[in-house]
Amino acid sequence: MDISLNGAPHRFDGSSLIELLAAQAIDQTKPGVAVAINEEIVPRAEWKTASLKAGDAVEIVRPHSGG
Amino acid sequence: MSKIDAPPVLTIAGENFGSALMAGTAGYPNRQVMLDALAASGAEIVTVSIRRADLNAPRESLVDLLGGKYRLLPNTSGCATAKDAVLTAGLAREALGTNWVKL
Repeated sequence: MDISLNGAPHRFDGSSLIELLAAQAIDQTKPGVAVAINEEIVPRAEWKTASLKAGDAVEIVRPHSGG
Repeated sequence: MSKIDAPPVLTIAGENFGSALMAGTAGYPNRQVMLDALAASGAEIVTVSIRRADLNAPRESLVDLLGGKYRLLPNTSGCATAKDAVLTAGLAREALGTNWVKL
């Protein structure tokens, strides 16, 4: 299905957030990452149960140098 | 997080600091200079922005680099609206486990 990932179109074969994070090589055991779907924050405890549907806008953020 | 037994210079929400300086993490020519500058500054609070992860070119996490040595203070740098800032603050809370934010 087609979703938006960090602002860019993204073709994704899975159906869950956890699959997407794994496909993006996000280490789910480490702190320093946060996720929102359609501008709603998904708490880490819910990563494993969150599902995705076509058209969803997923944001994966990290701390960067700045400010 | 005071490094020595001297009285704290700054107390925020019951947390004591030995320096009132809050240092940024932008504008350094490279990460080693940043680390050296932060160490030399004596700052115990270091600000970081919360932005989209670069999924194509992962870099060493700032949390790994700084998290054990400094209290990371997320900021809302890059936010254009109040809604953006609130979302970013929420994401920062998730990413860094802190209720603190610099607007």
